[in-house]
This record gives sequence, structure tokens and C-alpha cells, in this order.
Amino acid sequence: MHNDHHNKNGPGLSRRDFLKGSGVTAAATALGQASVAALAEQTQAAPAGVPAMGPGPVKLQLTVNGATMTTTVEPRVTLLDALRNYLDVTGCKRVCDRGTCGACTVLLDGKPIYACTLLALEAQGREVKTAEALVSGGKLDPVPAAFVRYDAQQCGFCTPGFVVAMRAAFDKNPNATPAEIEEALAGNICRCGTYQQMRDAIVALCQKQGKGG
Amino acid sequence: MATWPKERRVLSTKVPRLDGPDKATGRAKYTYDINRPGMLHAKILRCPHAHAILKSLDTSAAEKMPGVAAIHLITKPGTELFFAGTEILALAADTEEHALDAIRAVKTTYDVLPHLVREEDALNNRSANTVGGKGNVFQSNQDATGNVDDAFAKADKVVEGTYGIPVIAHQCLEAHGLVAEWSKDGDLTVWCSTQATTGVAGQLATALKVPANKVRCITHYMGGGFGSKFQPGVEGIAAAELARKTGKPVKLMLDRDEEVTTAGTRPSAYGRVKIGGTKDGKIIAFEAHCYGSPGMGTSAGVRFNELPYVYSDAIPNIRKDNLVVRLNCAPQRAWRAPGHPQSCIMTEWPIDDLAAALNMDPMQLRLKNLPPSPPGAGNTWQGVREKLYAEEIKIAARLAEWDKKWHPPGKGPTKGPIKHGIGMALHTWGGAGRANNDITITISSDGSVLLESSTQDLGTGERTVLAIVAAEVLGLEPRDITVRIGESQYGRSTGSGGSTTTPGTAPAALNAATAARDALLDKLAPRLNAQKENLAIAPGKIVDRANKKEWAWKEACARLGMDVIVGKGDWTPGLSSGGVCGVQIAEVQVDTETGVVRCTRIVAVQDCGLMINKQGCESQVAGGVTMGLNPALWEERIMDSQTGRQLNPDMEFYKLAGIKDMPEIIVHMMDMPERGVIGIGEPPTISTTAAIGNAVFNALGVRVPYAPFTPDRVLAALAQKGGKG
Amino acid sequence: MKNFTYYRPTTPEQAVGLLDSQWGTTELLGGGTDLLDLQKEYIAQPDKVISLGAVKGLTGIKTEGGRVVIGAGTKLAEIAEHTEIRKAFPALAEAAGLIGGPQIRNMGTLGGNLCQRNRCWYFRDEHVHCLLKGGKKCYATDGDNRYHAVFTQGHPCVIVNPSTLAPVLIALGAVAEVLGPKGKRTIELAKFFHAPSKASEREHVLAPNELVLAVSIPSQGLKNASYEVRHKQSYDWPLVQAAVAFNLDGGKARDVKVVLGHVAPTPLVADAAAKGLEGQTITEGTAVEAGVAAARGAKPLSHNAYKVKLIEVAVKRALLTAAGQKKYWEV
Repeated sequence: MHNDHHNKNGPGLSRRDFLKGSGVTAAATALGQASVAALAEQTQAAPAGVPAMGPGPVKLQLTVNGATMTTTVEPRVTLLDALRNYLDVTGCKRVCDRGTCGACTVLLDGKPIYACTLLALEAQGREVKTAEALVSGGKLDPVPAAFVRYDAQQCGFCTPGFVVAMRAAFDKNPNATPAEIEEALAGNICRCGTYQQMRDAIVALCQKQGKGG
Repeated sequence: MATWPKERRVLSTKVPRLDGPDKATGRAKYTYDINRPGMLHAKILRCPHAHAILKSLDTSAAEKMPGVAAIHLITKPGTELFFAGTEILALAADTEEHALDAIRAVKTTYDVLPHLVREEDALNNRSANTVGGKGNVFQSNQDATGNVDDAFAKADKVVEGTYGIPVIAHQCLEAHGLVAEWSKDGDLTVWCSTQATTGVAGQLATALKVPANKVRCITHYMGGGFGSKFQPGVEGIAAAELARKTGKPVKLMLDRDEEVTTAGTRPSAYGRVKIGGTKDGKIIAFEAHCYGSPGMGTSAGVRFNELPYVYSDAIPNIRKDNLVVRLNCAPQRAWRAPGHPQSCIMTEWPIDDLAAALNMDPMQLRLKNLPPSPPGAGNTWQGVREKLYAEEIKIAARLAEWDKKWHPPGKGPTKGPIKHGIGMALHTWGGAGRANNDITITISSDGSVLLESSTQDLGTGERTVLAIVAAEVLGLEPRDITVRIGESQYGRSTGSGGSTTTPGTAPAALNAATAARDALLDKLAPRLNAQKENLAIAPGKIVDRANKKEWAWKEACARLGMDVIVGKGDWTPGLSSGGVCGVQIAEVQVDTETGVVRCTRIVAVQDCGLMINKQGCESQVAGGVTMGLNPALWEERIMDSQTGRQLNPDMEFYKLAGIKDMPEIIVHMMDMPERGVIGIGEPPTISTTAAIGNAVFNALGVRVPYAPFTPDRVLAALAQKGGKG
Repeated sequence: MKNFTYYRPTTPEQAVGLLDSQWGTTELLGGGTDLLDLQKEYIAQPDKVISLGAVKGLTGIKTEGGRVVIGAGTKLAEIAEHTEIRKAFPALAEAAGLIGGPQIRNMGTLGGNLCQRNRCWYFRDEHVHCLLKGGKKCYATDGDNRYHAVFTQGHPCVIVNPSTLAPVLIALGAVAEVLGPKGKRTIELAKFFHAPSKASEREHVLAPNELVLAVSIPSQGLKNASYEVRHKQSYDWPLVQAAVAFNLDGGKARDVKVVLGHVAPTPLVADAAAKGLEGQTITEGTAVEAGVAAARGAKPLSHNAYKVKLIEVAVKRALLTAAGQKKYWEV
């Protein structure tokens, strides 16, 4: 889901335009997985026969919300910056940029991680999922739906990170208790103070048949 | 002249925010998320020293770095700089990585000068001047009423204590910054994370020397401001200059350490307070010697004129003064209820200390000293406060089970090392509406309704507020209204400060919707073969009361044909007012072995006149409570005397609550539609820290004088108590 | 972050072969939760980053020869949730489960936890040229040292070692298996850590071209527990940590180990506390005495005297937990 239809960058600018402007192409391939071998063409000779990448820009292929995306980044670019600055996937936010606040939380092979402390290159060949994946054809996943219903968001800048972390917690244990869900949110910080409403959402999701699924 | 409907259909109900789905799924585009074709990324070079003269600046190497497009000088060599983080230059490059590389390639030299970055350092070095102007420490205010010395002499009990709270930072999760883009015709569009779209557009026009009508500011979503985002800032102007220079869009958003050290702090407040009362519980004298630091700002600390805070008109004898302690830190900015949380602490903590000395329940002491309501003050705060505080205290006490749970300080139930405490505090705020908030409502023949305003949503649910008002008047549901906000070309709007946005814009929306409704009925009457005075709006339809006919909304609007209905409105008097009360009660459990304080429950009773969105009000109160909880238990800016630098410009040692740290928050909203709309953003954050401080005192029987109540401070207070026997 | 060349070896030998024999030019990338922070702060500026992501044989938990062997690349979350570890080494599961939040635990590895750099706020500020970065002075000694060492042991740099797995592993008698250019060696965890005082030193004894392969813990049926005094219950570092392990022999404690975290530049073995408990029944009385013994000799700095009291409490609570007694502090 690219959500091209939902672009709010301004009149007449689609995500594709931005990517074109940045010299980046978004290509969907049937392969769905970038192997390290595929990158060997742009690598240099290295000791011990280990392929090296960089320091110049190298090709990056990521699977994001089910789509294959390619761009070119220097090895130092984090997954978060690759998503936001190179691929225009902006649901994950950059706040502390030091693995503390949780605003950049994405799912990597189904597990919540901080996208700010993972090199983009390390995410190749793995499934990246962001908050944008939690809506399909206008239908909200039960977790963001509960955030809306109980007003568990104010400025909303932390919200996608919380939503992703909570989604992961229910995926891991559909019968999780509210205390277990809170435990799963211990790596996220909200500044506006939406925790009380978040708790309302958690209780409702835990009570629901199917438990947040 | 429009009035609020007596029967509320949508108003004051709980409406989920309209943009909730977009926010919760990451589709909402904040300034930080704006990516434009060919966009450059900009970074700022900052002075690392707390006080220095920029001696030399050499950008030749930086200019040759890969991807560098332009450099914008901000500070000339020879300039004296007064805080670490002062901007030297900004540069733009093709990627953020390249911009950072180039920043590091700039060569600078400084003459490093002495600095003072902690209040106690400045107070201990009164002869020094590290900040220029009036110097580091000066008296800003002094005032006295009544006969303070006599009153203290007559008092049955006098207590004296020191109290304080450090500087805290706004820590907006979306950092300050903007994306700037010039058209070929010299029009500037900026996407800016701001609390004032029209203000920023105007300030940029002035700074960039272009006509005001050539600057457009867009803020569809913004990630927290709390008072710190009224200006484009040095960074915003730099981005616009770099965009002009390069002819390309430029994005400049602050990194976390820049955000924390330069983009907004709340002044500290410390004080020695003496308070005296009689056996029967009248507080008769209050004396406070306060100080606080605004960094390089000029005013600081308590809200001086309103000390002893809500009791100012109840306590007859008052003497007070305040020192401003200027430090080599970035200037303070408005922080959610400027001065009030500090004044609240400086008043509410001494009151509980006096209650203990008088062997009184502190709730009873408050009830005996509520500010009087003078006759003839009507529905103003002065007019309602005496009864309203009493009523709110009663409700809060019931919800908090005060009668069951309160105990004399230090004498509560103990489970092992865990001591229970409960404490309360009162607050007040203005929150009156104001004019210059243009709202336009357009009704089309397909029945669609568009509402436009340049106002911005800080997270308060402003879109939903406006939709609720329009829906109420037009017989529709909030989701039927398309709300476009956060673009400066939609007319005038005031900045979102002082809790004025809802009381400023809701009346404007009411006026616009009423005008649109009247114009619609005017236009439709002949087309529906009805007399205009017989036509009325009912939920989802238009009715002809005389002929008992009705048309569904869309069916009626279809008769507009090629016509569109436009209703305009601004704020007018009579639909809003100012002045709220508010009471909070906090419960804590203190582990007396480790000194760790856990806040377990907070009851917040709040009035705000006519609630527009009850859900939004409750969220604002719970959020305000959280922002008062953080500085009570964890949050503080920590400066280093040696280096003049902040030690915690991060979110790791700048500690903020996670969900596991949170108490249960119980919000009770007072429904007072007769007062009109009053702002609610600021009041609920004011008394939380004070209430928690009193709860800790109630648990321990000893005052922990300075927030945040960290384990080391709690253990120190307990040790002191133990030492005294 | 300074740019670098990225390597993705597939064997431990390849990884070691890529490492320089001095610190600073090459870095191993495990979970990245510490290294990337250090790079963004320009504290670490390697030319080469060697990813361990594709190195085979570094992950997993297995039992062999009376020992539980945990691959150095094993994620903290796996350690925290592992059934056998929770049963045999609850102290380790508890400590692992309290690190950061779930995101950190899904990224961070055992090896990274042991080799991470300290959190001193002077060290982590690029603009402060402290002892550990080749400067002349430890700023924390004269500055704000609320989170620093109370047992400085005469070291000029007063950091605390941040690892919360280390005290537990030391108490449990764990051994690290390490690969270097000359092959494998083993290091007792008790001897793994080092108090650094200059730029050429790290918080551990590994050579710059060595790699931790695994940590093994003898299965001796020890009672064990870890207790952290934490300011925040969500993501936070402990103020003080105590890890304890002992045999219960007819109700008497034997082979007692008490190890403190976040009080010294290395995890600190509190021998005096352990000796006093030898042959004793673990009661609130003996636990209190052990706590006092563990804190004895502490020389707090200007801002951290409170930590001395916290050592007493943490040791007491860890001992009572390990002995299966009621957690009197939980209400």
C-alpha cells in the first residue's frame, strides 16, 4: 500500500513525483527480496573475501508494507532515514533518533524495533511494516481504530509508533492482559499525555473477542 | 446575533477526532514529513560554548563538500554569543548526511568567556556578568500589601520553607523547523510546525523583506508546541533564505539536542516562603522571596502579580519579591500556563505545611481561605470562584475518597516500606476568546459543507471543535463537515496561546454557521414555496413548521442549483468568557527504602464553561495532568557548571513518563454552558505538580522541597527528618 | 555519523579478520542500539563497520555438558523469554527483560550488552574532551555525577558499567568464549570487565580484534535473583543493581555471590557481603547485614551519596527474592 491517493504534499505532487525529483525510483518486483549477492556488483574488493559496500551510495532494496522499494543510500543511512528521506514512507517519525522514544517503531519480520538504530542495509531481505499498513481500503485495523475511538492521541506524532508497538503485542499474544500490553509499550514516550486514553483503548481491545485482532 | 443553542445535540458530547484515522495510521503529513521534488536538506552549525566570541569562520572547505548547495551566514565573526547552541550558519545540501558532513567541515575559532549556567552559581557570583545588559541577577519585582510583620506576630502558627522546581524543556516531539519553497514568481510557501500560521507567515515576510501576501504558511498537522512555536525561528528564516538562494525547496528540522537546548524551556522557580495562620484556619500572612531563571530571557519564575496565587484576594497581608537569574542558556519561551505552575507550587506547598502546623486537614484549610466573590461580579471568574472552588473541592474529595484516605502527614497506612500519601492543589487560568479569527463556511448544492480557517491544531482536536459547532447549527453530524485549517490564506487567526483557540474560533464558527444557515434558508424559502420565518433546521433536514413539510438536507440543498451559500464569521463578545477554577488531588506511594515515588491516582476536576467536545476536554485534562506529573517525578534540565552545556539534551536522561509510570487519571468536567466557551489547554497542567508534592509530604511527614522528587531527594529529606528525631 | 564501508561476513573468522588491531577504525555491528548512537554522536567514527547480521552460529540458546550456552548474537528478548533460562536463571531473564523496551530487546544482543560503552553524559557529548576521549580530566568527578560510581576504586574515570546482564552472569559463574586472530579463548565473566581511563581502553578486556562468540553458564542449581532500583518503571537505567546467587544447603546459603551493577566502573563483586552470608539462613536480618556489608567502603562523589543506601536495599531485596521470600516492598 503506497497510499499515493492520500498524498498531502501539496497540489499536484504525488509521492512518485517526489521520488523522481530525488533521483529515486520505486520499483515493484516479483522477487520481493534483495539478497546481498545482488548488491555485489557495486561492491569493492575486500579482505577475507567479504564483500564490502560503500562508503559511496549503494543500491538498497526494501520490502515495505508488502511492496518492494529500491533506492540508493550510503551505508550510514538508518532504516528510519531511508524510509522517510528516500522512500517517502513517513508514518514512522524521527524524534529522539537515539533509540529511546519509540516514535520510529516499525515491525521487522513482525517484531517491533526502532528504525532509527538499524542501518537500512541491515533491513534488506526482511519484511518492514509501518503504521501505514494498518489501514486497508479505508478500513482501520482494530488497534488504530481503538486509538481513534478512545482519543488516545493528541498531537499524534508519537501515535504511529505506539500503534505499531501495540499491534505487535497483540500479534504476539492475542490474549494479552492490559498489564502485558503496557509492558509492550514501555519503549514509547508520549509528550502530550495520552496514556489514560490509551489505557481505555487497551482495556477495550483486551476485552474484545479476538483480542485486538 | 448568534447565541449558543439551549438544547445541545452535538455540542458537549464526546466526538472522536475527525483526523484520528489519518494520525493513527501515519498518513497525516506533518511538517517533518513533507518531501518536495528536488528538496535540499539544511543543518545548522552552532556555537558549542556557553559564552564566547566568534573569532573566525572559514567555510571554504565546507563549500567544496559533496552535495553542498548554499551556505547562509547567521553570526558574524566578532559577535559575542551567550549560550551553547547559538546559531552560526546554516547550509543546505542534497542529502541530510551531506549537510551534516559539510557542517563539520566549517572551521571556527572562539574566544571562550566565563559562563554561568546554574542558578546557584549565578547567585554565588553576584559580581559576575556573563550575560551582558543588566547582568545575571537583578530584582524584577517587589510588592507588599497590608501589615505583614504584625500579621505574623499575631498568627498562631508560622511556618517557613524553601521550595522550587527546575527549568524544564518543551520537548516537542516534532522538532521546530520548516520546509520552504519559492515559486518562480517569488511567492514563498512554507510548511511550518507552528502554533501560529498567520503569525509565522507575517514574520517571515518581514524577515525576508517580501510583501505579506506573497507568503503562505501551511500547518496541517503539528507535533506539539506547548507555547514554544509562535515564531519561524532562526532556523525557519535560514531555511527560507537557503531556499531563495538555491531556488530549491529546503527542509530544516531541528535534531533532538538542538530542540531541547535552543527551542524552548520553562523558567525555574525557587523561593523562601513564610506563611502564618490562626488556630481557626485563617491564613493571615504570606511572604515570598523568589527567584527563577529564564536563561537569556529577561523575565522569570513565578507569576509575580498573582502570588499567593488563587488566594491573593483571600490573604490580607502579603510581601513578596522576585529575582531574575539570567544564565548562559537559550531564552525561555511560553510554556503551557506561563508562571502558573510555579506560583501554584510556591503557594500550595506552604499551605499544606501550615495545615500540618495547625493540625488541620489541608482541604479544610483551603475551604476556609477561598478567594471571595465580590457582589455584582456575575459570571466572571471573580463572580463564580468562591462557590465553584468549594463545589469542585467537594467533587474531587468524593472522587478521591479524601475523607477515607487523608491522614495527618506521615501517619498514613504503611505496608512495609511503602507509605501512602494524598494531597491537593487548586489552580486558575484565563482562557478568554478573542477576535480576528475568520471562519468561512460554504454550502454547495450537493449538500456538502466546507469550513475554512487558518487556525491550527496543536493536538487539541481543533478540526473537530469547528466541525461540531457547524454541525450543531446546520443539523448535521461533525463528519459531514469538511474542515480545512492550517493555511494562512484562509484569513486571519490568532496564535494558539493562552488557551484562546477554542474560545476564539468556536464563537466564530457559530457566527459563520449561523450566517450560512440564515443565507441558506433565505435562498431556499422561495424555492421550497415556504415563508422564510417558517423554515428551520432539524437534524438532517429542513422543515417548514407552518406547512408541516420537510426536506432532507441534501434534497433541500439541491435546490441551490448553481448557487453556493457562503457564511462568514469572527469571534464576537458574549459567546465566550475567561477565568476557570480547577482542583486536583494526587495519591502517591513512596518506597521509603529506595526513595522511589510512584503516583497511583490523580483526580482532576475542571470547568471550562461550555464544553464543545467533551472527549477533547477530557483528553486535554488528562494530558495536562501528565505534563504536570513529569516535572513532579522525573523531568528536569540538567546543566553542567564546568562546560556550560546541558547534560541531558535527549530523551534518555531527560526523563519523561512511559505508560507504566502513569497513575490512573480520573477527569471530572463541570458543565457550565451559561458561561460560554472558555479555553482548557493550560489550566489542567497547573496544579498537578503541586498536588503531588503535597501528597509526598502527606506520605512522609517531611517536605521534599524541590521537584522532581527523585530517590536522592526523597532519601535526603527522610534522612533529615530522621536526624531531627 | 561519519560514513564508512560496510562489511557483511558470514563466518566469525571472516569478521575477526576484518577487525583492526587497534580501537577506533573498525567496529562490530550487532544489534546496533549502542553503536549507532555512538556514531551519531561522533564518539565512534569507524571507517569500517562489520555487521554480524549474517554471521552463522552466533545465535541461539542450548544446553550442553551441564552448561547453558547462549550465542553472543542472541537477542535480549529471546533470553528474557526463554523457558529454561526463566526457570534456572531467573536473575538473567529478569535483567534481560528490564532492558530498555521491547524494541531494544528485539534488537540488542547478549554480546552487545556486555561490550556496550558507558552512558556517562560527559563521555557521550562530543564537545567534552574527557579522559576517556584522550582528554586530561574526568569531568564527572567534579561535575554532576548523580549516576556515576560510588566505588571508584581509585580509577580516574568514574563511569559505571551499564550492563545489567554482567552482574548476573558473574554471580552465576559464567564464561565467555572469544575468538581472536590466534583462535579461541575463554574468559570468566568475572575477569571480562575493565575500568578504562584513556581513549585506548574499553570497558572490557577484549582486544580490538576479538569477538565474543558465546557465554556459557554452569547449571548448578543456584538460587539467583537480580534487583534493580529504578527511577522510572518504563525504559530507564537502574540507579543501582544487585545480582545474587547461592546454593541452599539444608536451608543454609553456600557459595554465595553478590555482584553490584551501576556502582563502579566495572560490575563489582561484593565479597564481604557474600562471606558474611556463608552458612547463614537468608532472613531479613542476614539480608540487611549483607546489604550493609556490600555498601561498606563506598566513597560517594559529590552528587551520588544516595546510591550507598540503594546498594543496601538492592542487595537485601535480591537476596530475599532469590531465597523465595515474600517481596515485602510490593503492595
